[in-house]
Amino acid sequence: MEKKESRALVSLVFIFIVVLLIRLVLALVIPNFTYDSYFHLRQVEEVTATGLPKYEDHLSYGGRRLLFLPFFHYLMAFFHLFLPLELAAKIIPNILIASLTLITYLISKKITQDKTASLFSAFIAGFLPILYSTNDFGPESLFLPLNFLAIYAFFNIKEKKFLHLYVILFLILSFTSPATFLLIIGFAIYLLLSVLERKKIKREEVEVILFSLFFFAWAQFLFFKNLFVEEGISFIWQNVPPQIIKEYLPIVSITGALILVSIIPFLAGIFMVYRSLFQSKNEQSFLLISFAVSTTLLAWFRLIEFRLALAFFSIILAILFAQFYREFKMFMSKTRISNYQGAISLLLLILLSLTMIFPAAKAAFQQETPSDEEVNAFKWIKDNTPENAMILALLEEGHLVTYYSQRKNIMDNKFSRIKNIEERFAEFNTLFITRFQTLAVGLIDKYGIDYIVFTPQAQKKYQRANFKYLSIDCFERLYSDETKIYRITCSLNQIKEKEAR
Amino acid sequence: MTDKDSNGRKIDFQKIENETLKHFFDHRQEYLILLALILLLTILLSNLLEDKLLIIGEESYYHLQTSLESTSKNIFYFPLNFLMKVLAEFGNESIVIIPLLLAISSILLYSQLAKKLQISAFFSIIFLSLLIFSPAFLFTFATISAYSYFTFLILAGFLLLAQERERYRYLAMIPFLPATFLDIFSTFLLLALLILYFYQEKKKPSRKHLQRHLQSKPGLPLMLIGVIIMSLLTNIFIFQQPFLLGPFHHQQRMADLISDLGGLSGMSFFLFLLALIGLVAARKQKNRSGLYLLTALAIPAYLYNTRIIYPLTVIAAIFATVGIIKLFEKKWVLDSLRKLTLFLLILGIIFSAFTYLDRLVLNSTSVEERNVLQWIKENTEPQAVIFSNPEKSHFIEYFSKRQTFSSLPASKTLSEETAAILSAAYIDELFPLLEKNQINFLYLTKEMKEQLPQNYGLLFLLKNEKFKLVHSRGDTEVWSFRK
Repeated sequence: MEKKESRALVSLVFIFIVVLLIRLVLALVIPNFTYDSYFHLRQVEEVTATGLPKYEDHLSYGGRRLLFLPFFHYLMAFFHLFLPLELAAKIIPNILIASLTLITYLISKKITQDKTASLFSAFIAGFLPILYSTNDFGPESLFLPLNFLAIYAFFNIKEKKFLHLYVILFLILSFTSPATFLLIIGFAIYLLLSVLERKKIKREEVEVILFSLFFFAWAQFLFFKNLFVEEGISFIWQNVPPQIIKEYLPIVSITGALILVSIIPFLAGIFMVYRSLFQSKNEQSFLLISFAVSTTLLAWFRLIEFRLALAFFSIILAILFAQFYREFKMFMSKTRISNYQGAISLLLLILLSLTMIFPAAKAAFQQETPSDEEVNAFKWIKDNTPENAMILALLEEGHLVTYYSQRKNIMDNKFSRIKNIEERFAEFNTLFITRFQTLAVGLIDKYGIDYIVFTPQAQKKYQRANFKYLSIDCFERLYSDETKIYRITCSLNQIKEKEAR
Repeated sequence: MTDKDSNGRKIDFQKIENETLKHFFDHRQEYLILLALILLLTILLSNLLEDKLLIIGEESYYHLQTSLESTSKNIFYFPLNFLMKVLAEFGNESIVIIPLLLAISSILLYSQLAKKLQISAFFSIIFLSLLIFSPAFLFTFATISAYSYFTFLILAGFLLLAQERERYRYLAMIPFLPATFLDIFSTFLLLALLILYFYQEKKKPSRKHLQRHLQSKPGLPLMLIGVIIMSLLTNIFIFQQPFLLGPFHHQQRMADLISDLGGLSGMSFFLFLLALIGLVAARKQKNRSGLYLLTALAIPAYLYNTRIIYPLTVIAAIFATVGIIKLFEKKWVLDSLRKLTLFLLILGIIFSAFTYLDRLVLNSTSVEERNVLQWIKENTEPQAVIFSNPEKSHFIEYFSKRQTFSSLPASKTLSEETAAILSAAYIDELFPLLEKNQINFLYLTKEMKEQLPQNYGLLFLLKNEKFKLVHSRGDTEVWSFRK
């Protein structure tokens, strides 16, 4: 038995190390970070420098007030004390996501008591394509492992040490990401399903759920009360402009889910959800199913981002795969091919590897990150423009403007509390697509833009080589590589005077 | 002194060892009144210090304005009219004392009624605390509102009804009758409460003398209900009372329910959660079944008109009390979590209340706005029509003594024309609307100017020569429109 235990442990550690190594290699090979990451990098720098996050941001949108939960940034600031930020930002999130293999193993073993099945779950969790944003630096890399560790602690809530662990984890989660409400909704659905199925709910579980609910509500209220008042119920949609809401909250796509979760875990997981809901009486599976149901419902009604919902859902499917494997093994043992169990398991492993490792790598290479040339262009802006300059760049490049260039941007993807966002977005878009100089310069005057940037990313997005309204009179080219940077040298009044003459 | 917990077990207050708690239980009525006064006076004092009007809320000005219009339909406003004249000696805003007095009286009446109906003191303390901290209570008793008056009247009526002596029970007619003069829904609510009351009284074994009385002389219940129905019919067909007074603001169902989402009133998110828990917990308690009936009445009415939030909050506070008692009276398996959760709840409710108070003061109307309206009253023709935010129409009419173009509740046509004026992009769209509706002045407040676009629309069109800025003070402006 001990030999089996140590073999399983060695296999688990092996899976963890392989996953971590692959993730780190990909993170270091692929240049830079995803566009959103630069917002968090800047916040970590601010915490390191001043001890507080940058809630009053004079660069984003030309000056605005931000609201977000800061625990992740404090944690990364701690590591920044020992490591260069950009290195820590590549290593730590990948370690955190790789740790999902360990956590998934623990949860699967708790449910199935089967080491081999649990190892399969760990393997799947390590190679889920949806989790292969290796260059993404953000709270989700902490949220996902903490969330599932909290679920594991919840399964063992009768033991005092796990109760304390759960409380600590939940406190951290409440200050890491508002997505913790996935856990709360999952608990609510668990209670509801338990009542409907006439399952006896343990008192300590109800007590922990109540505590979680009230603590989470209080924590969010503490940070976001002004946001709730200003935006009302639409705070859920984060003030995303209606023109692009479909990008942030897309309609649930089964095809997309199949690709990002991988077909075998997806089908096996769905099968187990069905069985657990209607046939099995396993309590822990029931809780996991509740989380799966809550995530699906919230994504279906577009109340949470699809990618986050899918990441959460896919890890649950990975855990449920252990149950599927165990039942499959039990089924096989009753058939004639019971002697070939080992071979079939190996075949399954190969199939999983083929259907997951390459899509995972592909997902990593498909991450949208700025090129080195683009980063250099934004760094050039910092060295060659006045400190209070306003820069026009793509929406997703807004954080590059604030991080590398340390200049004001017109827009970035933190839309909360920005007034007239629909109008602003429409005008912002116009600046990239219009042919009319007068219109463009009018908008440039309105927003006080001093420099405009056209990167290869902008070329790809708008299917054009450059801005269409440029002229020598009004736009002085300062930087010309693949990225083009222009300084504005005229105003609308000047153009009108010239036209009048 | 003893009390009973939710399972009927006796709690002896003499045996409470904690001196502070014992003192609080002994003087709970006084402390609860003090709590209500502190919170309500905070609003008044904050407004005073911020140079804002003490009388807040559009509904207040609706009642004040209506009481000045003496018609046969407004005989119900006689008490308010009388009080306004009496209190005018002490200053224009001294009438703000009325809702404070109604709050204190209501708490006193409730305490007496709770003793008569043998409602647990423990239950009452929690219920009143939750209610007093709710934004709906704070808003209702900080403004001149129909529901503050209604609460006082029905508590007085039920207290009289709960008396031992028969002659006092007949006197219950005196407060109940005026309670029917507010709107039709309030009368239905009163009828439902009376029916529930008599039904519960018949079932209670401890009040056999009343039960005997009701059985032998069904006169009182029938008479009361009969008179109220007669009053209802009179109000519907003769006085053409509305089904529900108001609304006095643009309704947002979620925000008006949960005050933390920016609503004018409502309940805190924590109270809402507790009410949901209590809703589930109370289903097995037979003596709470009437609450479900009231909830079934209140929810559809709320969806129709969010002004019903105050009675809905009272019902929610009752359920929340049941919820709290159910959650915390027993020892938890994880007892340390129990204390922490209770602490979080109390903290959340208090925090929510103070955040609401802060917001209420921030959004109150400034003295400068009143002064600008007084300028309009002194410097414009009596038949002038003023265009402004419909949510402020009663306030504008009360101080300027001029007619506003649109007020809430507004007909569909008026709402559409108001929206059209506010969003007009060209003078070809705007001028015909202003001329057709004989609008002479535009009254623009700071909030309106912040919400309207600057570079196009109404604010941009004010640059046209037909508009003239005739008066401004601070951020408040009056523009005349020359046809």
